[in-house]
Amino acid sequence: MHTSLVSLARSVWKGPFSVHFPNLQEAIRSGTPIKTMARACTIMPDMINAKFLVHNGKDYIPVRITEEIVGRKLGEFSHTRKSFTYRLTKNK
Amino acid sequence: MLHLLGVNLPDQKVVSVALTYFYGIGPSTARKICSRLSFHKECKLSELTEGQLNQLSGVLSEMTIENDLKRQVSANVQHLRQIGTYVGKRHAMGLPVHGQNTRNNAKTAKKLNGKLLRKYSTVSSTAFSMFQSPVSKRQ
Repeated sequence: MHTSLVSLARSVWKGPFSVHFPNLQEAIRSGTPIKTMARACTIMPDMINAKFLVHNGKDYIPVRITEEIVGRKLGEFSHTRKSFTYRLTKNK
Repeated sequence: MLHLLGVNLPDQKVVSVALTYFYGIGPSTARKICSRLSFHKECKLSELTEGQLNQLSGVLSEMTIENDLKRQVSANVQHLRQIGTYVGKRHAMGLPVHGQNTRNNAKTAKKLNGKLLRKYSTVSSTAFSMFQSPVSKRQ
Protein backbone atom coordinates (compact mmCIF):
# COMPACT_ATOMS: atom_id res chain seq x y z
CA MET A 1 0.00 0.00 0.00
CA HIS A 2 2.85 2.39 0.82
CA THR A 3 6.28 2.85 -0.67
CA SER A 4 8.85 2.01 1.94
CA LEU A 5 11.24 4.71 3.07
CA VAL A 6 14.23 2.68 1.91
CA SER A 7 13.15 2.82 -1.69
CA LEU A 8 12.37 6.51 -1.39
CA ALA A 9 15.84 7.28 -0.17
CA ARG A 10 17.90 6.32 -3.20
CA SER A 11 17.25 5.50 -6.84
CA VAL A 12 17.13 1.77 -7.48
CA TRP A 13 19.28 1.92 -10.61
CA LYS A 14 22.25 3.15 -8.58
CA GLY A 15 22.17 0.12 -6.33
CA PRO A 16 23.29 0.29 -2.72
CA PHE A 17 26.31 2.42 -1.95
CA SER A 18 29.22 0.26 -1.04
CA VAL A 19 32.96 0.66 -0.87
CA HIS A 20 35.19 -1.86 -2.57
CA PHE A 21 37.66 -3.52 -0.22
CA PRO A 22 40.33 -5.16 -2.36
CA ASN A 23 41.60 -7.44 0.40
CA LEU A 24 38.16 -8.55 1.62
CA GLN A 25 38.32 -12.26 0.76
CA GLU A 26 41.81 -12.55 2.12
CA ALA A 27 40.79 -10.82 5.35
CA ILE A 28 37.84 -13.16 5.84
CA ARG A 29 40.10 -16.16 5.38
CA SER A 30 42.81 -14.97 7.73
CA GLY A 31 40.45 -13.26 10.20
CA THR A 32 42.32 -9.99 10.20
CA PRO A 33 40.14 -6.93 10.73
CA ILE A 34 39.84 -4.31 8.01
CA LYS A 35 40.44 -0.81 9.28
CA THR A 36 38.08 1.61 7.59
CA MET A 37 36.60 5.05 7.81
CA ALA A 38 33.81 4.25 5.32
CA ARG A 39 30.88 4.44 7.73
CA ALA A 40 28.39 4.99 4.93
CA CYS A 41 29.30 1.71 3.24
CA THR A 42 26.38 -0.71 2.97
CA ILE A 43 27.11 -4.16 4.34
CA MET A 44 26.96 -6.62 1.45
CA PRO A 45 26.31 -10.37 1.66
CA ASP A 46 29.89 -11.16 0.61
CA MET A 47 31.20 -9.43 3.74
CA ILE A 48 29.71 -12.03 6.09
CA ASN A 49 32.21 -13.27 8.70
CA ALA A 50 34.55 -10.38 8.00
CA LYS A 51 35.82 -8.22 10.81
CA PHE A 52 35.95 -4.48 10.50
CA LEU A 53 37.40 -1.71 12.56
CA VAL A 54 35.03 1.17 11.90
CA HIS A 55 36.06 4.71 12.71
CA ASN A 56 33.75 6.65 15.01
CA GLY A 57 35.57 9.95 14.78
CA LYS A 58 38.04 9.05 17.49
CA ASP A 59 38.67 5.32 17.73
CA TYR A 60 38.22 2.29 15.54
CA ILE A 61 35.38 0.14 16.91
CA PRO A 62 35.40 -3.59 16.10
CA VAL A 63 32.35 -4.74 14.11
CA ARG A 64 31.80 -8.37 13.19
CA ILE A 65 29.60 -8.93 10.16
CA THR A 66 26.83 -11.46 10.62
CA GLU A 67 23.96 -12.44 8.38
CA GLU A 68 21.51 -10.30 10.36
CA ILE A 69 23.20 -6.99 9.72
CA VAL A 70 23.48 -7.30 5.94
CA GLY A 71 21.88 -4.29 4.25
CA ARG A 72 22.72 -1.87 7.04
CA LYS A 73 25.56 0.61 7.11
CA LEU A 74 28.88 0.04 8.83
CA GLY A 75 28.49 3.28 10.77
CA GLU A 76 25.32 2.10 12.47
CA PHE A 77 27.39 -0.27 14.57
CA SER A 78 30.12 2.15 15.55
CA HIS A 79 28.55 4.60 17.97
CA THR A 80 29.87 8.12 17.88
CA ARG A 81 28.60 9.49 21.16
CA LYS A 82 29.82 8.84 24.63
CA SER A 83 27.29 9.01 27.42
CA PHE A 84 27.97 11.71 29.95
CA THR A 85 29.47 10.71 33.28
CA TYR A 86 30.19 13.18 36.02
CA ARG A 87 33.72 13.24 37.35
CA LEU A 88 34.72 15.03 40.54
CA THR A 89 37.32 17.71 39.90
CA LYS A 90 40.38 17.40 42.10
CA ASN A 91 41.84 20.90 41.71
CA LYS A 92 39.45 23.41 43.19
CA MET B 1 -21.52 0.13 19.86
CA LEU B 2 -20.51 -2.51 17.39
CA HIS B 3 -18.02 -5.19 18.31
CA LEU B 4 -15.72 -6.10 15.44
CA LEU B 5 -12.54 -8.17 15.80
CA GLY B 6 -12.23 -7.32 19.48
CA VAL B 7 -12.65 -3.56 19.05
CA ASN B 8 -15.67 -1.50 20.01
CA LEU B 9 -16.65 0.75 17.12
CA PRO B 10 -19.03 3.69 17.49
CA ASP B 11 -22.27 3.00 15.61
CA GLN B 12 -23.27 6.56 14.88
CA LYS B 13 -20.03 7.51 13.09
CA VAL B 14 -19.18 7.51 9.41
CA VAL B 15 -17.51 4.23 8.43
CA SER B 16 -14.17 5.77 7.39
CA VAL B 17 -13.98 7.57 10.74
CA ALA B 18 -15.06 4.59 12.79
CA LEU B 19 -12.40 2.39 11.17
CA THR B 20 -9.66 4.63 12.54
CA TYR B 21 -10.51 3.26 16.00
CA PHE B 22 -8.38 0.28 15.01
CA TYR B 23 -4.70 0.47 15.85
CA GLY B 24 -2.97 0.52 12.48
CA ILE B 25 -5.74 2.15 10.46
CA GLY B 26 -5.54 5.88 9.87
CA PRO B 27 -7.79 8.13 7.83
CA SER B 28 -6.15 7.32 4.52
CA THR B 29 -6.22 3.53 4.96
CA ALA B 30 -9.80 3.76 6.18
CA ARG B 31 -10.79 5.67 3.04
CA LYS B 32 -9.06 3.07 0.87
CA ILE B 33 -10.96 0.25 2.56
CA CYS B 34 -14.25 2.11 2.10
CA SER B 35 -13.67 2.69 -1.60
CA ARG B 36 -12.58 -0.90 -2.06
CA LEU B 37 -15.84 -2.15 -0.56
CA SER B 38 -17.76 0.66 -2.31
CA PHE B 39 -19.24 2.27 0.80
CA HIS B 40 -20.28 5.82 0.03
CA LYS B 41 -18.59 8.69 1.87
CA GLU B 42 -21.42 9.55 4.24
CA CYS B 43 -22.29 5.96 5.04
CA LYS B 44 -22.58 5.34 8.76
CA LEU B 45 -21.62 2.15 10.48
CA SER B 46 -25.19 1.47 11.62
CA GLU B 47 -26.39 1.66 8.00
CA LEU B 48 -24.25 -1.25 6.84
CA THR B 49 -25.99 -4.51 6.09
CA GLU B 50 -24.96 -7.85 7.55
CA GLY B 51 -23.26 -8.83 4.30
CA GLN B 52 -21.31 -5.60 4.11
CA LEU B 53 -20.13 -6.04 7.68
CA ASN B 54 -18.94 -9.53 6.84
CA GLN B 55 -17.04 -8.15 3.85
CA LEU B 56 -15.52 -5.49 6.10
CA SER B 57 -14.39 -7.94 8.72
CA GLY B 58 -13.02 -10.14 5.94
CA VAL B 59 -10.84 -7.28 4.69
CA LEU B 60 -9.76 -6.35 8.22
CA SER B 61 -8.81 -9.87 9.17
CA GLU B 62 -6.40 -10.01 6.22
CA MET B 63 -4.60 -6.91 7.45
CA THR B 64 -2.00 -6.68 10.18
CA ILE B 65 -3.71 -4.54 12.77
CA GLU B 66 -4.16 -4.21 16.52
CA ASN B 67 -2.11 -6.65 18.62
CA ASP B 68 -0.46 -8.33 15.63
CA LEU B 69 0.86 -4.99 14.46
CA LYS B 70 1.95 -3.95 17.95
CA ARG B 71 3.83 -7.19 18.30
CA GLN B 72 5.41 -6.70 14.88
CA VAL B 73 6.56 -3.19 15.73
CA SER B 74 8.06 -4.16 19.05
CA ALA B 75 9.73 -7.18 17.46
CA ASN B 76 11.32 -4.88 14.88
CA VAL B 77 12.63 -2.58 17.58
CA GLN B 78 13.86 -5.54 19.60
CA HIS B 79 15.72 -6.82 16.54
CA LEU B 80 17.39 -3.44 16.02
CA ARG B 81 18.45 -3.49 19.66
CA GLN B 82 19.77 -7.01 19.42
CA ILE B 83 22.03 -6.45 16.43
CA GLY B 84 23.37 -3.34 18.12
CA THR B 85 22.43 -0.54 15.76
CA TYR B 86 22.39 3.11 16.68
CA VAL B 87 18.61 3.20 16.23
CA GLY B 88 18.15 0.33 18.66
CA LYS B 89 20.38 2.04 21.17
CA ARG B 90 18.37 5.25 20.95
CA HIS B 91 15.18 3.26 21.48
CA ALA B 92 16.65 1.67 24.59
CA MET B 93 17.72 5.06 25.90
CA GLY B 94 14.24 6.43 25.27
CA LEU B 95 15.53 9.22 23.06
CA PRO B 96 14.64 10.38 19.53
CA VAL B 97 15.85 8.09 16.78
CA HIS B 98 16.01 10.34 13.74
CA GLY B 99 18.59 12.84 14.91
CA GLN B 100 16.28 15.38 16.54
CA ASN B 101 17.57 17.76 19.17
CA THR B 102 17.48 16.56 22.75
CA ARG B 103 18.55 19.72 24.52
CA ASN B 104 14.88 20.56 25.07
CA ASN B 105 11.70 18.67 24.64
CA ALA B 106 11.97 15.32 22.81
CA LYS B 107 8.82 14.63 24.80
CA THR B 108 7.22 12.15 22.45
CA ALA B 109 10.31 9.99 22.23
CA LYS B 110 10.80 10.07 26.00
CA LYS B 111 7.19 9.06 26.40
CA LEU B 112 7.15 6.25 23.86
CA ASN B 113 10.54 5.00 22.76
CA GLY B 114 11.76 2.85 25.60
CA LYS B 115 8.35 1.34 26.14
CA LEU B 116 8.45 -0.71 22.96
CA LEU B 117 11.34 -2.63 24.40
CA ARG B 118 9.87 -2.89 27.87
CA LYS B 119 6.57 -4.05 26.44
CA TYR B 120 8.36 -6.88 24.74
CA SER B 121 9.87 -8.20 27.94
CA THR B 122 7.06 -7.72 30.45
CA VAL B 123 4.13 -8.00 28.01
CA SER B 124 1.32 -7.11 30.43
CA SER B 125 1.16 -3.39 29.74
CA THR B 126 -2.19 -1.65 29.70
CA ALA B 127 -2.38 -1.44 25.92
CA PHE B 128 -2.00 -5.17 25.54
CA SER B 129 -4.24 -6.33 28.36
CA MET B 130 -7.09 -4.11 27.16
CA PHE B 131 -8.28 -6.66 24.65
CA GLN B 132 -7.72 -9.76 26.68
CA SER B 133 -10.28 -11.64 28.73
CA PRO B 134 -10.99 -10.40 32.25
CA VAL B 135 -9.26 -13.42 33.74
CA SER B 136 -5.91 -12.57 32.23
CA LYS B 137 -6.48 -8.89 33.05
CA ARG B 138 -6.26 -9.57 36.75
CA GLN B 139 -2.83 -11.15 36.46
